[in-house]
Amino acid sequence: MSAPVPKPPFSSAAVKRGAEWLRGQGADSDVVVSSRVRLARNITGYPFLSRASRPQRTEILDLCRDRLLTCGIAQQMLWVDVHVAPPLDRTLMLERHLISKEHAKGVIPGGAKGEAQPEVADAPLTPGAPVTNGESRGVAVSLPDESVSVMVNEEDHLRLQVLLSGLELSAAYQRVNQVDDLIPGMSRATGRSLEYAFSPRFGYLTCCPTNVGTGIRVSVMLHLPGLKLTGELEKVRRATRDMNLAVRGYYGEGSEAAGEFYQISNQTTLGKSEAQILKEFEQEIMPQVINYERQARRMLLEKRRRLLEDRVYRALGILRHARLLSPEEAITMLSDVRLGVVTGLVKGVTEQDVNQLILLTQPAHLQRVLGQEMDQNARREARADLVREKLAV
Amino acid sequence: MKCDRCENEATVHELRVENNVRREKHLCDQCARSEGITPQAPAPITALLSQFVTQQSPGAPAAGQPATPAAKVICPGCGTNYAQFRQSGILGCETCYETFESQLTPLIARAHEGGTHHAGKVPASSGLVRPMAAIPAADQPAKPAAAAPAKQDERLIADRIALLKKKLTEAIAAEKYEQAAKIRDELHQLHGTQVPAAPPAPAAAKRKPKSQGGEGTPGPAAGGNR
Repeated sequence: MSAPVPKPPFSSAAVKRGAEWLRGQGADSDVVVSSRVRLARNITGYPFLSRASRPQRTEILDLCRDRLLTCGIAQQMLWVDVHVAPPLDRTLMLERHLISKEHAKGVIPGGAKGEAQPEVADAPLTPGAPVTNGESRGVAVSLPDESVSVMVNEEDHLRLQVLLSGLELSAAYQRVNQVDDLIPGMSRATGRSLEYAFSPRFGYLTCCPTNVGTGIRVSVMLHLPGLKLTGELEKVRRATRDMNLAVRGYYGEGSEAAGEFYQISNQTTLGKSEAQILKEFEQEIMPQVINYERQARRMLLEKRRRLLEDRVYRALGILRHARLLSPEEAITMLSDVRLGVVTGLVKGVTEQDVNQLILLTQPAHLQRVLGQEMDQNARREARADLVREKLAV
Repeated sequence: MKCDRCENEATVHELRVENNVRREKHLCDQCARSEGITPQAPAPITALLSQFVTQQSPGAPAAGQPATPAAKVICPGCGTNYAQFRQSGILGCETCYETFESQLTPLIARAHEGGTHHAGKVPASSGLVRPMAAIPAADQPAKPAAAAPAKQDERLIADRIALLKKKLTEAIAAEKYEQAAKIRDELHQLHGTQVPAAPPAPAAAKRKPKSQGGEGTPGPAAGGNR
């Protein structure tokens, strides 16, 4: 049943070590798991990916690959041709938040889903169509910390992101801003020059006008079990929406919240400077949400301690004794244990331990750590074994 | 704040102005529902957008008007026509932003809290300087500003001023005075930077935003602002 996994982009040691954003450190890490800043960029002289032909996509990919690997973003850069990577590797990168769901799957931006692909070699691809036959796309990742990743041929030609642990938006922006400055320039290998599509009025031009201007998306992953338990979460959702912010699940757009982890991000990208957007987010919005969650946790500890304890220890009991674990149950229980860790109820387990387990128990990670492909049932067994081992008293 | 009808915390606030009479209602979720006020969950931005494109589109049969030729415009850069954009909500190439500028302007403003002009980073290769350079921004690493044509710079600042004036009017109308004060301060700073920027610049360039602030009509004013 165990087929050998073909040349993995991430060794199993690297997979176990995990990325920077899992450290469980950084400011306000009791509530904020990670901070992400991404910039959307397109290259001048090429159509957006909604209208690009196959040869154009390949040309864009070649140009970007060369610039990304030679412009000095980090001492060591990893490049993955996502379109030829095995499905397991794509899922692995998705689980590590290095690529988006769309990038893992491969979808031409826009249009209705599921339209047929044109067979003509240089015809534009059908918007919204799944990229079934390996439409060229890739990702560059900084090693060893994986804090920088640049997707090529996602919705825009380039999507630059920096992901850090805790509430570290300014640091994340500074880093991504630096990367943004490094990428444009001459590519020796292709003999072409990479410059961004930009207009003085509209700023950085993006495929979808909702990203135009700064092209910036600032998002934080929050752990809000206190607000969920006290029934206050809906108010936060409503308030953040009123402030023109989006609230999403664990894997961003279109995903459900898992284990009380939520992503909040900005929607407005035009008419405000990057500094303004960051400042509003980091200094005005986040402190409020963080305090609100901490208050809820305090309230639970002081007034509903028995309920809190029951929830936390029950979860710990399940994780320490279960023999079969589904991914949903694992993340829900780990979320409850994390609540126990940050409120001081659970000793001997750290935030980092929990963060790491959340990642390692996901399907692709589980298979890579154990070095074999497994079906769903085998994964449930392996997941329970791994969690029991890590949380053993 | 307590609910007008019971002891619960008010979560729904309604403000109505009819015949210059201002009426406020503060209700809890339950009482609001019993009064038939349902706080609507905001639609996702993409849904909002496509809805809006359809409504705003010049091609849509609006109030007895025939379809305007704008709907038939085809982007010379990529061949996308406006109907295609309307359907998908995405553009085909950088030239689309010029081709469909007038149709895009109100749509973009709506998607970006009234923002119509870029106010952020400028790529080094564009030869422009950061329009926001004059504003002290926390955590903003000083960027090596390329020596840019002062005229361009001036225009960007003028655009920004026009936008801020509009926002100021809106903030005052909405009684968001704290926000208004912030905008006012930024305007003061921008005025400070504008004066010595380019002595030979034509006076018209400076007067432009002023006349626009007086008009207070967001739609066409924003379009004529470039």
